[in-house]
Amino acid sequence: MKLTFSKGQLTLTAAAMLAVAGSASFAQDVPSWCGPNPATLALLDGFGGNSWRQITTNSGQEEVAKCPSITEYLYADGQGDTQKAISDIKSFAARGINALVVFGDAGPAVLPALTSAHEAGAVVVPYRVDVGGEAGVNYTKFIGASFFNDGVNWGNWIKSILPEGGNMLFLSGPAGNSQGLDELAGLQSVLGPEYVFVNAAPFEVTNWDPALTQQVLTAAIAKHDDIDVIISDFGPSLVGALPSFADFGRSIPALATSDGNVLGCFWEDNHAANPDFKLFTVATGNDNVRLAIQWAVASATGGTLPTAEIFEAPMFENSVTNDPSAVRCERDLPGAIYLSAQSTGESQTAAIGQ
Amino acid sequence: MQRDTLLSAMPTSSDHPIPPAQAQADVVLRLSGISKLFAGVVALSDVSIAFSKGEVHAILGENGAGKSTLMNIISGVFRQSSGTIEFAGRQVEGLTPEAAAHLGVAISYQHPAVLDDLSVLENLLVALPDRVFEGRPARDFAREILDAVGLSVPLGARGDTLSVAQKQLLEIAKALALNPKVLILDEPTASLDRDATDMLFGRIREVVKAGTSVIYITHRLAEVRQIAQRVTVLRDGRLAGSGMVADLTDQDFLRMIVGRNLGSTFPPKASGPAGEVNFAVRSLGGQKFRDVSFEVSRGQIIGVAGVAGNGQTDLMRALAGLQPSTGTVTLAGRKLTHHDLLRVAAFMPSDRHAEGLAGGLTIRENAALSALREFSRFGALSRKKEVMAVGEAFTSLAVKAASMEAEVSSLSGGNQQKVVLARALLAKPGLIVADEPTQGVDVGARAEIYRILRDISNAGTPVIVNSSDAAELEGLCDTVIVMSRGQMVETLIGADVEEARIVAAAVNAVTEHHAADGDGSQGQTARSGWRHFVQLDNAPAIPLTLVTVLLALYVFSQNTNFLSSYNVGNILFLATALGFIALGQTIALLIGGIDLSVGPLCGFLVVVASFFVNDGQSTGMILAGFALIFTGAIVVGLINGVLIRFANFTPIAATLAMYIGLQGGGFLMRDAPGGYINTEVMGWIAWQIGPIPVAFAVMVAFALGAEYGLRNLRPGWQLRAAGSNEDSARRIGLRIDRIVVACYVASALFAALGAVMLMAQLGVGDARQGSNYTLASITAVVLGGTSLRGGRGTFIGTALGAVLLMLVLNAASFLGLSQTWQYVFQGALILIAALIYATVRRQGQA
Repeated sequence: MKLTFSKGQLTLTAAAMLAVAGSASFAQDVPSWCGPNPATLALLDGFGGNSWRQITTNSGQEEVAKCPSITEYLYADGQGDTQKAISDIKSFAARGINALVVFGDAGPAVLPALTSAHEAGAVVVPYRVDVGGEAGVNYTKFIGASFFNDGVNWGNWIKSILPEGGNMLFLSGPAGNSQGLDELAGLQSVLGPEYVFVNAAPFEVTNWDPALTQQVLTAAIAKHDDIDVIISDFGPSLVGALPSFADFGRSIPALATSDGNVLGCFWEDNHAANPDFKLFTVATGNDNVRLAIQWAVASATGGTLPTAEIFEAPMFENSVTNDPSAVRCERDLPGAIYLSAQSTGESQTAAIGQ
Repeated sequence: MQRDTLLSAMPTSSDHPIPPAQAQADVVLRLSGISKLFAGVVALSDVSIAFSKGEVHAILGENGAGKSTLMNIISGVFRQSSGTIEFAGRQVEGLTPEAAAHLGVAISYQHPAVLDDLSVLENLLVALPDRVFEGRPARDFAREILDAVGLSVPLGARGDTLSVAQKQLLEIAKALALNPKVLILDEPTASLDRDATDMLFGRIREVVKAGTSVIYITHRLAEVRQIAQRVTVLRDGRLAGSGMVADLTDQDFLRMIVGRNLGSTFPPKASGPAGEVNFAVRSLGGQKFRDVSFEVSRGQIIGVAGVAGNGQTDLMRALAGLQPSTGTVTLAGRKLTHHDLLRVAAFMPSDRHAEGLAGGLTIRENAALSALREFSRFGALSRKKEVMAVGEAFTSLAVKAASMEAEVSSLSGGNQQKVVLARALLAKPGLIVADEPTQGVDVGARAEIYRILRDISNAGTPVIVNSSDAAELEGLCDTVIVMSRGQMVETLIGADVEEARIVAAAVNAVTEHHAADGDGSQGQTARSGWRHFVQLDNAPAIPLTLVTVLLALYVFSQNTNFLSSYNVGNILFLATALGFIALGQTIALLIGGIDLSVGPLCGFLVVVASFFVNDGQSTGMILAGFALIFTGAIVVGLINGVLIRFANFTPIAATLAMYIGLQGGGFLMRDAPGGYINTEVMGWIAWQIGPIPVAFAVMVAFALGAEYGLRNLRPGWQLRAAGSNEDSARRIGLRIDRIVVACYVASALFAALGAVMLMAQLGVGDARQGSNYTLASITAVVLGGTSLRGGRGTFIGTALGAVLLMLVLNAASFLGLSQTWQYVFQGALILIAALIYATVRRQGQA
């Protein structure tokens, strides 16, 4: 799958979308997943307080704007509080919102709330975080991301640069998060025993928090002098700690991770001085929400259901082969944006308020 | 050496194991050779006294002479280092407060063990055993024992609305209500006016006639003559003498007490014609007084007299700038506003424990507190300057303390008062306002305080003294104004300043006071009715309900789905979990602590349950899961309580450690969400009748039950007493350790009920869940109107607070508020609630 950065698709700004939504005078190619029945839709985040989430939310909003049948679009942020997330889901259902697209950060803990909303008649599409349960019973459709597939992609690349095996350091988010466990399974499906994980099983816990990541990674760099490759599902968070390698007189090792403008630029600046610094990224997955929106809109408006049922993050950058892309860096744009996403750099920049 | 001279003056000698009254009949309590050491320091040495049935036995001695230690030994608070105690001829070993009470010892403390957050009635109920109330309504009995000491306050009035004198009467009433065999009265009249004192003496004579042995501790020699038959004098922890009051002269007493002849206690008054007026008050009015005018010439001391409670205290506070006032105050030709007064005047409060001293600081720090600016340059304190100035002040005031770094609470009453005085002087004030400066101060120190006040006055600083002791005013003051019903009724100048005339002016006015009282009494009752209502702990329920209903109606007007059965059920169901947890938190806050562990405990217990309460498990296994939830909660509560009471952890430290520990424990059991909860069990917990979840009704029932218990059952009073003032609660005989541990167990058990709700809400064991409840529960409790300082609170308010929080959350999504506004909305709500409660309480006290 090729990534497109077509600006023509994004003719609407978010504000204009709300003002003119449903207006027939607006001539545009309506996608097939957008049916004729008017509906309301809400995007619910479990935690919306970082730039990745803001860009993802913005992507979701852009996707909704393509369908004029959506008469009202709402957003709620659970603020990292499961009780608020549950309350948000249930109150939107009570309010009579037709379609709920839910980033269920709390995992199965929001399943009873989703089930309740589903039973109350709403179209419920949880995405990205596994919430357990069953499509058709607890919710309409779950649009997961194939984190296993990310693990496989990373594993294959690691094999290509270290055919003899090596030492790997794997970092993921909060303790026990299913994304990290799936990625590990993907890695292990490809890599044999000659590839050794030096981290505590199953992964080093970072909570996807750049500050904690820096602490954890700096400690790991000091502790292990033989890291051949660092694997992380949040690439930009590594940038803070990588300069520590220079303090030990070592080269930054290879990175298999997800993309981010700041990381691409860091590679550009540092790969010459660090002979082992090779970079491979998969798209960070902001567009996962688009597929979920498509499913929710199609179900609520009577449109055609998309064929894809799972979001597979495409491979993005590869500093060794430049395929599918060379490492990318847009110095004019903020470090916190993701060049792998469909949204334009400008739109993302606006979304994170810079 | 002094002792020898004294002994020669005495008809008896302390060398005899039992003093004179070998002939003493009907001995109820006999102390023989009692000694007490505190960390090697001798507080009492070889003291032998016998107390007889039907006799008032006065104990005299300077502060620090060992009187309080002796009383604490008799009442079982301290254990003697050596010596024996006999009750009715039987030797008692290992006396405890309970055992002493059982033997018939009752004590009225000098600093009343009255709990500010409890009503008068509740103060009686919690301090007295059930048996004294037997057979009749508690209110009738309470009224009767209060009438017996002449205390006419509403039974529902809160402790903190009572004056010092009223608290003292309440304290005495508590002791009398026990019909004790031995009644200990420690300085009972220190804050009482003449009427109350006479009333008290009448009561004492009655109980003595009935056979009680009364031990009467006092500083006032006149009282000894009035009420006591026998007297024992202590000095420096030793027996200085003892005998029948009738056989001894005042000079004998004074010699025994201080070991020297005092001569005249009072310094000479201002002589010659009055100088220029340097302080004038014109038509001053304030909270409980009006139209007060007087002038002070250089070198004169002004006295304020009257029956206690006629506005004198308020006048003093207004003069010190502590209360707003109308009228003009002129100092050295300059008009002062009440803010100026606050800066210029030095105030010596009558309740030095509550207002005058910072208990944990050293005496140097206490003295230097208000003069720190004098010792600092460019904001940095010069320790040298401070030590020098404070040292000078202490020397001139003859403060007796181990060192300048001694804790102020280790000092005797007289020396504490001197520290207060030292602070007043160090600040170089323009005006000294002394409210009962010698209350609870021994004779020797009194004379010194009089001398100091006179010196200050001679140096040109106006001095105003309020005293309930007319003799003191006669001896000290050049001019005395007498107050009644908040007005000046008499001004006595020069030779007219006589005890008899002061008393006459006050007493004559009192008649008028009572006669006139009839007119205004209706209005007073109506107002005080409102006042009592807003003071009620559960008064916040009204505004909370109002806000809840109004908010619900507003959102309903925007979207009718808001009050749909589905949505109402959702709100109440979510409020149930929070409600249970917040009820537990209320208990922790009432006791004056906090329980941070409730949130993670809740999550932890759900994780525990997720191994047992699953689909396909046997009923036995599921029941075992529930049993484990509650057992686990009890264990956690016990650990919290024990850490706090026995390992010296602060509540925050103990429960924070538990917070972290439980989170870790949850992750050890499940590092990823798992263990789906049995759907049938979840169905039962979420069972709803119409829009009302049954669990919510249960939570409300718990809240009502807990509220009832808090107001009407002994454990409720004990909880509030311990939270209100641990020290006083201990003195009335409560077992604080046990109460506090029980409270943390109760808090954990409520968290367990919350866990059952959370289980149905989440449907899965997830170690990450629950911790948010800690903050949310505290928010709900504060919103409900419970004081974070302990002693005051309401379970009903808490339950309403939980509902309101969930309503706000739900309403925010209904109204489509942005994230920012959701935060602002919640924050504003809590801020407004806190402001309203604070204002309402202040009004209630006004």
